[in-house]
Amino acid sequence: MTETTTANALLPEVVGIDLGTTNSVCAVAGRVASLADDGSPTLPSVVAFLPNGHTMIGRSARRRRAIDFENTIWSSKRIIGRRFQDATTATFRERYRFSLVEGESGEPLFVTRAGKLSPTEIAAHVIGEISSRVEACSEQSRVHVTVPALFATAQREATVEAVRMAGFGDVHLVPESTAVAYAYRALDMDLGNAMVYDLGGGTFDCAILDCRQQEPELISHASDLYLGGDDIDQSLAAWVTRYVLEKHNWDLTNYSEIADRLIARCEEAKIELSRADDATIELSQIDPECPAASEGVTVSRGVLDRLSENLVRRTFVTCDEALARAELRAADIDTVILAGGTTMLPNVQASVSAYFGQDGRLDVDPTHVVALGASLASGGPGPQD
Amino acid sequence: MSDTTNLPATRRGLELLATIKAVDGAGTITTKCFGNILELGCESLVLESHREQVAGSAVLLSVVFPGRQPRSNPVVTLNCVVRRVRDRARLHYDLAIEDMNDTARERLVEFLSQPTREQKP
Repeated sequence: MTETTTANALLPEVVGIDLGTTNSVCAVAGRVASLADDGSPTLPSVVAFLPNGHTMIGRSARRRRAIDFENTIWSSKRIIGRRFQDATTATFRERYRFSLVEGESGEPLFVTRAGKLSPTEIAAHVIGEISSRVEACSEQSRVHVTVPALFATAQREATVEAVRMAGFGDVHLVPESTAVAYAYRALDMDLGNAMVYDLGGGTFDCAILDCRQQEPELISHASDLYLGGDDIDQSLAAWVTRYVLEKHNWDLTNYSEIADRLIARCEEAKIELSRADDATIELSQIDPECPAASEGVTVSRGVLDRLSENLVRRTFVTCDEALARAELRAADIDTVILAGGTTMLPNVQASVSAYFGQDGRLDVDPTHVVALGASLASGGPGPQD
Repeated sequence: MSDTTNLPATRRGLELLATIKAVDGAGTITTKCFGNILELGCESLVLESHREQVAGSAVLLSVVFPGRQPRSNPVVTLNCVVRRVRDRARLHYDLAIEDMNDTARERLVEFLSQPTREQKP
């Protein structure tokens, strides 16, 4: 064995973490890790604080949204590293029903039965859970955590702090779009000028990368901070609310916990509609007192397409912006890569094909591709570099 | 002891929303919160609670079974006793179903007898 090989064998494996707004994924040295008892590689970025002092993270925590929404925190990545007085935080407060207060340093804090917690602390819980579930994770691991390209310094620093709070010392940031390019380069694909179309749960990011070099080079990017699968869930929830109001004269928005349960069920229906023609939303699991509780509301894929049409169209305004900055046209893009769970929706894929004149690549599962690429990336600088 | 022959099997992997009402010795409802029924059989169930529950205490569970049931009142009430703590960290409890009227039993058996999503063609 050569000296170099011996040294490499002693090096800890690179852990790639896609800390998502809705779900998080982890990969170790090019292999996606299991983050749930059933082998699922996806960990919902949800943290629940129980009355007995325990903390629950992931799928079991997401289930508690239905019964204890005040103490169950999700989508906190939207305001990580932000100040309470920021416009972004104000929008977050309008959209979500969390109890938020301003901390001594001006940061937003979630008020829960476990105390007041910052978005950074919530993220640390999610990363800590990943660390506890992935055997290859250790304090010595080199961690590549992904961030949206538009994250400002404060947001990047808050993300690194969360990873360090979870016990990791060697932390490097990788832009999400660059991570995607790394995952596809591992397939020996000639990507040329690649557009990464990343429609996740909370945000839409598109990035143009020159992949003809040794390292993928980010040419331009643009983002929409409030455009993602969550918005489709909200549109679907509004449609169901109107339907129930018109048909049964019953308002599902009277109580915030009922409205939240409706959104959670709409998210499940949306996921089902990515592979089925229709899905049924059981009203009994949203509001047992609704006069139509014994009925379900059936949603067809056509309805979902119509409801999401404008949202999908908005992604192309952002794509136009990224192309204009790069002084390129859609036809100049050699490869379009799809990332993010929302790109599993057939109407999103069809719209991408129409806009770019080519199908978006789905060779790598769009929900895993960011974490996978992060674990293969050469690693960006730490926030202090 | 009740006759358990021909009773449908316990359904697991559920996530049925339930209203939990705690009942004191005088039969008065003292607190109300939400829970998820995770497993359900004809005589017992596993409940994930919004609050901590006390072993031995009586609770009333109100639940609407999913699926189209054209009925004027779809709510089924189950009189239960918290038998033991199954998982303290997750607020999961084993409950014994102590009592229910004929309608509730009929609907419970009907729900338990429905093919699950995996069983449907």
